[in-house]
Parts: sequence; C-alpha cells; structure tokens
Amino acid sequence: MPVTKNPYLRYKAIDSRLRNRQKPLPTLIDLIQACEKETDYEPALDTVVKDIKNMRISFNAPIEFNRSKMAYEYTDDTYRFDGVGLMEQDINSIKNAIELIQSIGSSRVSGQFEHAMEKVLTAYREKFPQGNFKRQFIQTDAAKDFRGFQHFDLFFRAIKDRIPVSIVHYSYSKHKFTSRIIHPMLLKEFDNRWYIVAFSEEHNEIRTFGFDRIHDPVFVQGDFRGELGPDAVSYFQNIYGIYPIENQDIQNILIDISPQELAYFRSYPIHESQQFVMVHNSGRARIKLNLIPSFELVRLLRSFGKTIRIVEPEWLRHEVNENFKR
Amino acid sequence: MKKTTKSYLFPNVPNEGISDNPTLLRITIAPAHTKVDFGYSTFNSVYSNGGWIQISPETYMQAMNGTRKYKLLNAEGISFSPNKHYFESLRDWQFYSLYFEAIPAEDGIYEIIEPEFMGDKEEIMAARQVSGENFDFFHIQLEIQKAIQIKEN
Repeated sequence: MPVTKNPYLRYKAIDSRLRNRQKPLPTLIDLIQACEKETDYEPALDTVVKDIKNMRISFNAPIEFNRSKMAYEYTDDTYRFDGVGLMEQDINSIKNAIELIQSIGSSRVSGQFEHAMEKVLTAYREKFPQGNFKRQFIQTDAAKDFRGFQHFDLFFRAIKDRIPVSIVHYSYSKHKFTSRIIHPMLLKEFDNRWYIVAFSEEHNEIRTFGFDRIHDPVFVQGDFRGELGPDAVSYFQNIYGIYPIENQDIQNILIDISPQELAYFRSYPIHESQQFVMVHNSGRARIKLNLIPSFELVRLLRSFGKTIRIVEPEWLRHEVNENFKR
Repeated sequence: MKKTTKSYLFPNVPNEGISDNPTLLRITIAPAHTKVDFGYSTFNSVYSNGGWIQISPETYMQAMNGTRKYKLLNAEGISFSPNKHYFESLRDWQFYSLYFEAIPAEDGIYEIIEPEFMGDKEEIMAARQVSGENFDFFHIQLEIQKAIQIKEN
C-alpha cells in the first residue's frame, strides 16, 4: 500500500498531534498539516474527518470536538493509541514473525488478515525503521490472485462460527453446474491450491471442493452438520493430495527408486507413512507407503519418469505408466 | 401478497427449461429484488470457440397464472444485448445472476421469458435451432417451505 493511502500513518500523526502539550487543541487544519508532515502528502479535509471518525470507532479513541474553540482534544489523558505492554523478548519474537510474514506475503492467507497485518506493519515500521522491509530474503511459489481465493474469509468464518453455506459448484470433469448446501469443516491447502472440506447435504457425505470451482457462496440458516470427527481427521492423514481414486482403500505401495532420486526421497518424504524397506550399496532403494491413493499421487509419481518403478500394487503401476491422456 | 423483510434461498428449483444449458441453479427472494442464478457451459456449443451469451434487458419474470411482469433490474456475469460475453473454448463456463423486481415470498409458479432478441436476431435463432438451446424457463416452482433463510453477514 502506498504510504499516502495508508490510514494508519495518518492515525498516528493525528494521535501524536492531539498529545502535543505545547500546542494543545489542534484545529482540523493543524491535524491535516500534521498528517502532511508525517506522510509528505496533504490529505483531503474529508479524509482527515473520516480518520477521526474511524479512530473513535475502531480504536475507541476519546476524541471530542471542542465547539467553543473549534478544535479537537482527547477527553481521557490515559488513553493510549498504541498502548500494549510487551516485554523485550516478546517484541523481538514479534519482530521476527512480522518480518517473516512480510516476506511470505500476508495476502496468501486472506484479505482480512492482510488488512490487519498492514496495521501491525505500519506501527512496526514506525517503531523499528531499521527493520528488513526492503530486503526480500524469502521467496515462495504461492500463486497470486487465483480464482476463488476471495472466498477464504467467508469459509474461515463458516467453520469458526458453524454456519452452513449455499454454493454453486462447477465440475470440470462433468462440465456441469450444481447448487449445493455444504457445512464447511476444514480449509486445506495442497500444491498452492485451496480447498474446502465440507459435509455436503446432497451427497450426504464429506466432500472436497476446490475454491476455483465455487461461485457465490452465501451463509444460510440451519443446523450445522460439519463437525470434523476422528474418522475425517485420520482420513486426511492417510491421503496424499485431495481427490482419492475411486474404490481404493488405504493400502501399501512399494516403489523402487534409482540412485539419483535417493537423496530426494530421504529429504522430502512423500507422506508420513514413507519407510525405506531396502537401500542397496549402489544407491538403489525401495520405499513403502501406506496411504489412500489419489490423483495427485499418480501425477507426482508420473513426474519422476523412469527414475522410479512401482512394484505394487499392479493397478497403480499400470495407472502411472499409462500415457497421460486427459 | 407478502412483502418480506428477510431473504429466502431456493437451492434447487424444479423447472422446465427448453434445454438444461443454461441451468437454473438458485433463486433468492430478497426484500428489494429476486436474484436468479444460472450456469452456462460451452461443452456442447455449436461454435468451435464456445460462442457467446447475452441477455435481453426486456427479460422478465411472471407468475404462470398472473399478469404482472417483474422487470429485469440488473445482471452480473452476462452482458445485456446487443453486447455479448464471449467464450474462449469448448471447455469454458460462466456463472451469472439476473436481478428482477422482488416477487412475493410465498408459494408460486413462475416463468422467465426473454422476449424478442435485440440485434443479431437471425444469428441467435439459427444457433438455437442447431443447439436446441433456449433461455426461457417455465413452471419454476417455488415452495416457501423448501426455502432456506439467508443468514445476514
């Protein structure tokens, strides 16, 4: 956000000016000038009036307009606009976390969170101008602005407050729209894509819906049926990815890997069930997975090409080796 | 006729469209308007690039046994004719909503009619003859008992 559009810098300027005991009772013009001094930009009169109103509502700032002097003042001297008591070690850990969030990008989480973070970052920049804000030293591959991500806040609230949601869903495979009532249980990110896991009334079971396929979610009244039971939790622990392959339960999968992939599989296990059942002197190895096979697993295994070989089950070997037709 | 102060959503509405593309998905009866949601898929379009969609601003809702026409107030996700929303391929889709004047929050059977098309009439008629696609929807059955109240944010 450009500094000229950041309201929190103006709030700080207004707060600071109202506290100035040398020059008490600032007029609206004084407050505009204080904002200009802080941001190198002269805000419009309406903007500062709105800022004062926001400070009163959002920050409980006891600002009153003194009609006899046509000026503003705090009616409570003990009020602190940024008063939160923290120990030095608290401040240090918060500083680290803030710099980390700044690096990963708060927008990855949600619009609401980004807005909240902007408040924190502004206060932080002011307090610790030496912070590492210009130097980017973490780069992630999070996709920006993908379809449906705007639903994050709504689904987050639906889960938190247990609210059923009406959605319109478009199936990529069936090329068909449907209207569904879902009871959201879990927000899940996989491979940079977001999904909502929910009890679907029409299916009468738990289903996973990609954000990119959901249109116009709306909160509706009704009993909430989206409690995440232990079965559902273990289900998500037992699957790699999102969409299970039909009629396939949890099972053992044996994979032979070539020496050049050994280090990769050691460093980045595919799944928490991954075990090495044999490692040859040459570097060839065999691993075992115990999970529910999914389309995402097949896609991952295909990506290794001839450097891996599925030993069993046979159906998976056939699936992985088959040409990618879709 | 009941004037509602609440909003009611009909998630699956029985209706008789001439084809299932577009599909009538949901109807919301709100105090100030009636919102009708549709989905259109280019899956079986006669055009190799998926073609286009548009809606006449003269489109209206009407009770099957009534005379009052509830006018179209606004549209989201679809262009008013003569403008068009163009698709890119036969794997494209579009969700769109039409906002009509508020209908009463009670049982009723409605139809949605797109009258004589504005502009490109011959092209539209030819395309619809080939594809069997038509916008008009009949026997839209709204049963207030099956509606779900919308929870205000």
